[in-house]
Amino acid sequence: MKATQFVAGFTTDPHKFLELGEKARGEGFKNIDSTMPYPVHGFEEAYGHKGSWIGLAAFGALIIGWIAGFSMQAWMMSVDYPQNVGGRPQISWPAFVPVTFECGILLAALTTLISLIIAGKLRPNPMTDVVNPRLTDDLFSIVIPFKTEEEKAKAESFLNGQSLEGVEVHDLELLDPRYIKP
Amino acid sequence: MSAVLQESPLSTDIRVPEITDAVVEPMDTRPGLLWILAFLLAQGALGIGVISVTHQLMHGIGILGINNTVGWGAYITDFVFWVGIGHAGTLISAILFLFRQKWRTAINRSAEAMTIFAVMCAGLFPLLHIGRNWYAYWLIPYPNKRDLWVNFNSPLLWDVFAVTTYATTSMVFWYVGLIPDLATVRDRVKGIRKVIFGTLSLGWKGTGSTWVHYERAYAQFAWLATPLVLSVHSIVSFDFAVSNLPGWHTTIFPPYFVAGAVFSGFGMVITLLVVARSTMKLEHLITMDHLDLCNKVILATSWIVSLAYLTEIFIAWYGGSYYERYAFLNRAIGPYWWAYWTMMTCNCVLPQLFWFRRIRRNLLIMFIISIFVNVGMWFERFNIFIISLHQDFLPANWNYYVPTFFDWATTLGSFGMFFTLFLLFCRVLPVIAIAEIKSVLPDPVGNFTGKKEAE
Repeated sequence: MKATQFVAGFTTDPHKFLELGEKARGEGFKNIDSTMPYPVHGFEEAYGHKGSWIGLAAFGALIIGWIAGFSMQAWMMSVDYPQNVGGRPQISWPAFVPVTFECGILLAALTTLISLIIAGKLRPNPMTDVVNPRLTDDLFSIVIPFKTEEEKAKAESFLNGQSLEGVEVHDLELLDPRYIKP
Repeated sequence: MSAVLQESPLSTDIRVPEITDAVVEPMDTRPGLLWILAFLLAQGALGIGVISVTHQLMHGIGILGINNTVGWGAYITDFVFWVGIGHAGTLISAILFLFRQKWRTAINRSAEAMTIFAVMCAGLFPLLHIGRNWYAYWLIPYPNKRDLWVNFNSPLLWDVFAVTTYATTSMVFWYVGLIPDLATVRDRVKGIRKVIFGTLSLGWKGTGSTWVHYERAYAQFAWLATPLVLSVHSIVSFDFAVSNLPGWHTTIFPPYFVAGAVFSGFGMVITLLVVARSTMKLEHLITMDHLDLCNKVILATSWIVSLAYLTEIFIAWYGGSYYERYAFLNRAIGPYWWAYWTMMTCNCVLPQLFWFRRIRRNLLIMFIISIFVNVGMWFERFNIFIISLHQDFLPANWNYYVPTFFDWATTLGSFGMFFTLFLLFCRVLPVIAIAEIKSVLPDPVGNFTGKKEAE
């Protein structure tokens, strides 16, 4: 069974927000997440996020772009339509360097964009529902998903003891498009 | 030096929700009189440009001032000028990001917008200059019935790849930077605007699991854009340096062009920011310290450019090539002496005023100097291209190039297009990176006790 709801605890203080992540993980809550209006230094460690794979994807795309860009030029200039310009080499590689470089950068940049859309679960949504409009302004929240009533009660009692600016229960579909009910 | 720069120049009194309010406010209010006047002026300039370009498309490039000897005139000057303007935006958004310069967050969004609009203006000129504009797609290698490929040994083709990659990457970088701010706007507006911003913000919720990837992607763009921006103007300079013409055929061109590009770009940044910050009431976010730092960059790059000018002259003398020596003497005392000395005055002499702190912090004077910097950099390109071309290897061909009305009208039109786009940007998108500037607040508790708690 997958969790479909979560308990959220709100605060405007980024320091408190970081402590909250550490404490929640210390209490044994699993799969906790958060929402932030702006990134706070150190949230990855506090909330136990693993690193992103986007760097690797972009690096791979860079190498592939370089290989593809160079091969394209070498093939066009020496195999498909070879020309004899005063006996000079057909694969005059120094002249191919700028285009090779740009091909790699272009592919890596576009790969980074697509990777971000996939990894960050970004989907254009004209009717975006939000938990609280202040979550993109100044309000932080810790997100504790639950499956059973016991887990819910445990999360609520933990968050109620942290003197936060509010504790609420919401559906996960508000945060993650994968949970939107058909 | 770097320790000073890394401090955030923002006040500890600014609260987080106030930043959102200040940035979103111009999008919610009606435009002021100054904006409307500026917009009408920009539209007028753009209109003249459109008429001129239409005339050119109907009658061909014979209406321009270019002649047999000077094949590259005002259009190529404009092209390199606009590509150069773009470089400051990428420097601020990518290179200063990698150096962890926190002050960039107040100006990076508008500078990146400037980059994109400048590259759009730049891209127009080669497309107009090729003459048979409807065959512009021949610049791209694609399988065709003629069985031909483009010539990858040509620097002009490298330029096609460099500028298109630069335009694409800048736009993607800018858009990714906008996503969290578009979500902030989405959560504050109603009606049709909520639908538009909801779509554009890609359903951004600001979850930590998304921010992890977002932060990585943003840094990735900075790593990619940094060598890219250096490569772009280097490749633009190859258009000239790879050829065999006295005055063009010098190895100093790539670094000299890149420094000049940053110099002129920061000039344009100052021109735009001085006006934008006061008309949009953003003085507390784009502070005098920010402008001061930009002016220091102008001063530093002015010296790099001056050093490049002097090095060129020295090598022309020391190298012993008769033609090279003549080319440089001809710049200073030949028929185009006025263009050369305009360049020298605007690029080397006037920016020296920025040694004085009071001038670096005087809005009117820095605005005037920034205009002169832009004029000077336009004339730098004019000097390099036209003076080197107008007296070729056969004295019978020597010719004096004068731009015609249509050269000037299209140039004016590009300025109109640039300012039209920038003015629209000021109205419809957040001009300051809201999420980024919040994350570099000086960090005492005062910044985070939101005023909204009273509600």
